Amino acid sequence: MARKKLDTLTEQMYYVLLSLTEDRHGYGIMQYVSALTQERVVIGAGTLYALLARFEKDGLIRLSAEEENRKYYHLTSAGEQLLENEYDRLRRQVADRERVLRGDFP
Amino acid sequence: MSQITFSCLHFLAPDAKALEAELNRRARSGWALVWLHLGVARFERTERSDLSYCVELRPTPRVEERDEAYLQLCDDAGWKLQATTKTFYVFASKPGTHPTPLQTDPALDFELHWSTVLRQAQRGALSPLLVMLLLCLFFFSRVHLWQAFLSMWSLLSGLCLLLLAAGNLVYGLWLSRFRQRYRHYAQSDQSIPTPKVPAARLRGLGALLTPILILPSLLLPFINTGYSQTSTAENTRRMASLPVVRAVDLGATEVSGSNYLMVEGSPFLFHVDGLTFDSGGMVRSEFYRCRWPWLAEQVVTSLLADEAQEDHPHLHPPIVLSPVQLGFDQAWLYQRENGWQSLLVREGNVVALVEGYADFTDPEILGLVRTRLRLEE
Repeated sequence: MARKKLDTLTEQMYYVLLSLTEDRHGYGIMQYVSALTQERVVIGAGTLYALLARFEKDGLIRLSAEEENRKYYHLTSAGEQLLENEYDRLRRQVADRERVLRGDFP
Repeated sequence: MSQITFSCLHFLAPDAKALEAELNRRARSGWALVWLHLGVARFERTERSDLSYCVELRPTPRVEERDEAYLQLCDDAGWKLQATTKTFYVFASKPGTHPTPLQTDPALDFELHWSTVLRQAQRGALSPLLVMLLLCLFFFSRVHLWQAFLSMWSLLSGLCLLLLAAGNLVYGLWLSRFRQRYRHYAQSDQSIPTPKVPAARLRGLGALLTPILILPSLLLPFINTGYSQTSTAENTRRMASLPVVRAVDLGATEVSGSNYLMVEGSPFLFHVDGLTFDSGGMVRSEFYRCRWPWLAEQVVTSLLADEAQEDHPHLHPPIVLSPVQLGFDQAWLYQRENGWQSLLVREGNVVALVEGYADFTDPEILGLVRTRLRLEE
């Protein structure tokens, strides 16, 4: 589905941004996400490369270092804000579900 | 058992997944890709059971430096770049790895790569159709369709054009359907559909054949296999045995040495055009023997229209022939006050036009015309 604006992140986008709270290069991101999600979320190199290019273009991440053709990225403040907003959205979703399950909301 | 084999693997960009499927099938059979150039692939026997391939569209244009960074990332992820073509990157899995496919977000893949590639491919398939249509309009505004039957080369050229048009049309329709399916799959976050390998091979072969068909289509009509001479004794000799009405046949006594003769045709349409001169003027004779009645009708219709046309290259001002009963299946006549007449007749599958200073309503003259045009045979 075309995503013109990054107002809602896909699971892969979310975890890529989440992994860049620390400096990481592409393969490092793939390993980190795989380990963090116990291999529930795996990101292909082609998809990751496209996402990094898009995030960089949108100012959500920045290139922090480069070694032997490996590029290291880090979240920008805009990226941190987007990740925070997404976290709030997901938390509200979970909270809403819990309210319904508890019967707090008819 | 052979350790090396070569294979023709010419696939078009939209068939990247079919190429991937084919390489994976060969990998399962114990063949590893060594290189892929200009649609020819070399394979070697391998003992590896974990070998798999991933074929990606080659992004264009991509800055070299970015390319290297991407290839490094793929390499880290377990995908080694095995072959590069104008259209594809072919990655092979590194020994001992079971790497994640390169694309894990079908929607993003479609948005970034495939939508453009498929749009370009559709344009690429439709543009030859448009060029062919314009060429046809250009030619048929100047010549009649039936004139293609005057030469086997022209017919062959037409056949090539038809094959090209049909091939491009089928490919364009397939692309349109494939693009819709692809978009649907991508929007549902499903893996993209893999085109059938035999069909993909056929499309690749078609793309190779296109330039081979275009060249003869353009050049063949220029091959002249007919006879065309002006003012020669050879013409006089040939005319005697050809279905041509000459000045001498219409009673001319002082025949000029000037003449023109053209003989052309195919098994479907035979045409003789003859001009002879006497002191009084010129006798023009056109003869068509057609394979089928509908072709004869086409010739008659065109000749009637051409004779009346202002900008048609006549040897006289435009004229309108009127239907007459002269004992032929069909006949048309134009009479000028000074004795010049133009006669168009159709007898079976033969069509003939005779013009000159003669009275074609005279049964004796008509008899001569019939004899010369072999209409009595």
